[in-house]
Amino acid sequence: MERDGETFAEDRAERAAYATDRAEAERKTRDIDVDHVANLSKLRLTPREKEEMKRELSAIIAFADELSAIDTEGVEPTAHVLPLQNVWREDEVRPGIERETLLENAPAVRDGCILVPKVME
Amino acid sequence: MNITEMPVWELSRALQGKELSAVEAASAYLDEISAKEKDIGAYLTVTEEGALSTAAQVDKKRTQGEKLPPLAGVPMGIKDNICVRGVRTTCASRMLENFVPPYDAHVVERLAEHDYVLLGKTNLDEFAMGSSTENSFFQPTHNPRDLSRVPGGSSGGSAAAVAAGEAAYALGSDTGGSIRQPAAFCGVVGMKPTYGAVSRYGLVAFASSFDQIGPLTRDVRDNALVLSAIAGYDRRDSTSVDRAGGDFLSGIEAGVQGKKIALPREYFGEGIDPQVALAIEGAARRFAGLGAQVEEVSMESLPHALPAYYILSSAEASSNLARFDGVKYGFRAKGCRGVEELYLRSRSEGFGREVKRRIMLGSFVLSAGYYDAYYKKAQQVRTLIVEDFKRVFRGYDFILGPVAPTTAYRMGEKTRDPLSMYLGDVYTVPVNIAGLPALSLPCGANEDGLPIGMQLIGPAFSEGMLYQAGYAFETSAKGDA
Repeated sequence: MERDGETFAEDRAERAAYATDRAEAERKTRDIDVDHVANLSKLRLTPREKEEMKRELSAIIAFADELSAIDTEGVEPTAHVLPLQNVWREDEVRPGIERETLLENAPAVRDGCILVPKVME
Repeated sequence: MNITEMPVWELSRALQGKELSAVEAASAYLDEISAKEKDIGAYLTVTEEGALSTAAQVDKKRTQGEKLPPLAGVPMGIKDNICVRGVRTTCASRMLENFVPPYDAHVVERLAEHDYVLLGKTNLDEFAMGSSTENSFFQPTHNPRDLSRVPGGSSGGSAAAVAAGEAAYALGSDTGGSIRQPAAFCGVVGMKPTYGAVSRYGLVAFASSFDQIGPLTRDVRDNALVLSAIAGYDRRDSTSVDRAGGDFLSGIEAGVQGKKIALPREYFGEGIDPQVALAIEGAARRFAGLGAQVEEVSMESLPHALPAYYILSSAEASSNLARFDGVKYGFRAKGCRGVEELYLRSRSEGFGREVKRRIMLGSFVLSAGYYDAYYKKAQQVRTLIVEDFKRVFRGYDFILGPVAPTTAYRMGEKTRDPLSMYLGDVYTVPVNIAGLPALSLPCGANEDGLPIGMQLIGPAFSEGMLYQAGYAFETSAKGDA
């Protein structure tokens, strides 16, 4: 995504504003911006996949829209069902799995490090 | 004696009494697998050498006079989303086609303490997303009762293996019904334990606030035996509940005299196959005959469970599957020229259709502008569902209902329309939303002989009582046969 001299904060604000506008527009048509969602998901879809995905997701979201009719005024959201919070352990170093073993599943390895394509130009 | 037809507790007794050796038991099962796999396709990996060598070790220990735990030497299968060190664990995905875990899941360590014998890793829908095992990257699994039909999913391989005599018992996982529904479709017993009862350490995460590992077995007693071996606190799973694992076998014969059973009217609405409804009504009558009191109740939140589930579980899945990026492990697309391409291509080439669909759905409901309307709303509906169950359990001991609206359908019947597949989960997902335990067991068959399963749902940590009820039912039904 080109920045053209914008600061990161400006770019982020612009994107957020765009997101809200777009969401408003989409909510009216229940049309999903597949390109945007695919980018969030880090998935690359073919044009045909995009068409099918748009249809399928729209149907599923339409199905889920029935939730909007439910009165949830004052209802606390539940993230997970157990009354557990802040499950800590002692901040002590514990033996882990050896590096060699962990690297066995890496696609490419050099000098005990995982090799990846160039990240920055 | 037909070794592969014996339930676990019988096989265990025979092994302890040295009527047969563990190597004989393992060989009998491996033979069965050789004979049946071309039709059933329950296994992704068969660990023949490992099975025979651990069986030999069990025999050696026994000859030396060691007293071994009940599951020692009993051959079993493990769903391929549960990590076994040194054994390829694929989650039925191209993404993990060659992944070999460097560690054992907690439940595997517990079984190892029992000197278990692993026959292999069983098939599933890719990353446990699906209800028919047709979403496996490698192969579909066929229902042993009718090979043209699905075994259910996502633990279809485990259910089919147990039903076909290719494993004495198996482990599966249940996020929205993935143990209970294949158990019902294949005519075996499956338990989804209370959330937090069984450690998820080593279970490849799909939806972290829903996932639970549980046993699939031939009968209720077997199921209680296996759950006793794997349940209990594990500090490596921060959602593991710190309470005694429990011996679910003791008192299993207590019966249901005086128990109050609730039958939610919402479970018998539109869409249920009349033969399934009939079988559940028959089960209610049987329970009444055994001394229980069965009453209809209303649970208004139930119809909202399915959309809430698909929003929440997909959101959690999109987060959990973000780790598959082609960097440290798993599939990496070839010839990628930068990090962005690495992510995009590895994920797009590594994941199947349904997985991509759920990730997209999850990203969507979590995205700016939609989070409140979908994700937060679903979380609030989750609270309503949790409360609804609590309300019912103030007046009733457990809930009886169907597991699925239909019996096993034909392969390919629902793959065209994802929503139609999702609708089959309508009776199972409320249980995962509320984190409750539920036992799925056979309660009859339809005109074509296809198994019908019923679900017993209890309050948190009531697995013992559910097993008692299931055992009473099973014994009574067997008595009639």
